[in-house]
Amino acid sequence: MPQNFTENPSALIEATFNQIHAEQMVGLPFINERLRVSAVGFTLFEGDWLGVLLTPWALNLMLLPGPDRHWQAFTVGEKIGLKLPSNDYTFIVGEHQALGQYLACSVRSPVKDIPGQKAGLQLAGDLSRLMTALPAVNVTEVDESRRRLLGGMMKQSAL
Amino acid sequence: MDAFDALEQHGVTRRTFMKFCAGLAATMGISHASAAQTVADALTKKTRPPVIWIGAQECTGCTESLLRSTHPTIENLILDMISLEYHEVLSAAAGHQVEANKHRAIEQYHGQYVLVVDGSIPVKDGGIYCMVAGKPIIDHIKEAAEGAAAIIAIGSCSSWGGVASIGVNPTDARSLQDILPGKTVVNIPGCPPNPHNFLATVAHLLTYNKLPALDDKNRPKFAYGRLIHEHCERRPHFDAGRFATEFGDDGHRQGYCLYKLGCKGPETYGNCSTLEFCDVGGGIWPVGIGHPCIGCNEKDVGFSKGIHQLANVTLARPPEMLPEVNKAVGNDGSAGAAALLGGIGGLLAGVSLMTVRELSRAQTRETSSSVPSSIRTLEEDS
Repeated sequence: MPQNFTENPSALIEATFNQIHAEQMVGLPFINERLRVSAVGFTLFEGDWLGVLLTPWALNLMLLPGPDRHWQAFTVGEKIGLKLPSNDYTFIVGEHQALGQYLACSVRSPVKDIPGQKAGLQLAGDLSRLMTALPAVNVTEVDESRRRLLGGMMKQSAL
Repeated sequence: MDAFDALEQHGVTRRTFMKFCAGLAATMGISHASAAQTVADALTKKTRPPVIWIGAQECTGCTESLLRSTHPTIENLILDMISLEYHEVLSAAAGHQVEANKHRAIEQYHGQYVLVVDGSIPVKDGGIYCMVAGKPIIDHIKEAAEGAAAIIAIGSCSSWGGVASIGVNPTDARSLQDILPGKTVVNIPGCPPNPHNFLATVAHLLTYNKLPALDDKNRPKFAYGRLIHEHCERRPHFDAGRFATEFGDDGHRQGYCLYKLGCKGPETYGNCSTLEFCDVGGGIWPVGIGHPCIGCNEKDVGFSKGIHQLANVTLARPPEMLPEVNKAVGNDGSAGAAALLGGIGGLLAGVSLMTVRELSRAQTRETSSSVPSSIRTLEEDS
């Protein structure tokens, strides 16, 4: 099982999930036959490969270990909160022989209502851009936690 | 004596209470840093909402799930948070006395109390199949609903009819909303529902003085906003096409996806895959122990579909959380994608947060000084 990926893993992800589609998912009622497996927008983010995986059965945010990265050992099914620029998301640890361990965050499943591959690709592309985009910050919301308060005091005293 | 002293007298430490409040805040989807304190402040106010709890055609499972929690402090918290003025099962009084108590409570707290109903309401033959104090239960409920500040249907029976309404429905069992047209009824379905969803709803009422946001079936969005399938710990197996096909087969033993055994997770809305079952903990919920979800939350799924029957994947109802997307998924470009992302953002209760960098062992050690210490758990936050 691979530990990490020096090269962009998009092609391997697509091959793996195409094989899953052909071998495990044939005839299952949740499959949207208008969609094809596509790994969209995978690029290095903080050292790991972050992108969106569109399959005829699910639309997931997905993260795989990048070059020279050695993830902690996780349990399949374990939930991990990840801080991305746009928000925090709950990912679930997954595993496949061809891919090793990866993290996936379900955007939508089943995906019967995505009208076609073109719409699916556009949606996946938009998601991949938006998830790493900085959100517009609501400056009026005050963080009243003690930690923040103490942090603020320390900053003040340092000035 | 302040509220914390009172809690400690009941064996609830300040720390336990704050943890509980943090959990409630997380259940409600409140994520700002002082969420636990906000909830704690509201819950320790001197005024506790009077609650009138009426059981119709019910099995007492909903009451049991609230009061026989695994953690011995939870039931104390419930009874400290609310003032249970009337509850047939829990009442010390009996007969005319308990009926008189109820009428007194209805008058004394007119316009202030929360009415909770568990069980479906039979309407056939004038409602004679569920009689209390010589009167059909439907009359008791209608009477109590008049002066209620908020009305909650707890459990699948009062939310949509439940077990008693299935098949020939011999008593013409109805939901609470059916017999109270025009009134806002908050539905908390489940058989039984997780008590935290009831408590979080009450806590929301106390904290914000209004009901939480509801979906088109009047269920709190914080609890019923997503499919059980979406946060299921067996989800990676679904994604990778690994299914159990028979109880006890190799896949079943390895914890594979239960879809082919009839799991209704892909058509059932709820937070069971994150809160688990009632207050048991330790991975205990139907799917967690190897049984497919039976869809008890959902009308036309729970009790009406065979446990072995495959889940429908074309839902009659579009998920309420993602309104823009359902009109045209993907066609609308970023608006649809932004709505989707907005719907899935945020952390589940009990999930620790880290940055992508921190996933890596070696990296974490090497760069620990430059990495902000953002690993935190909700527990620590409290």
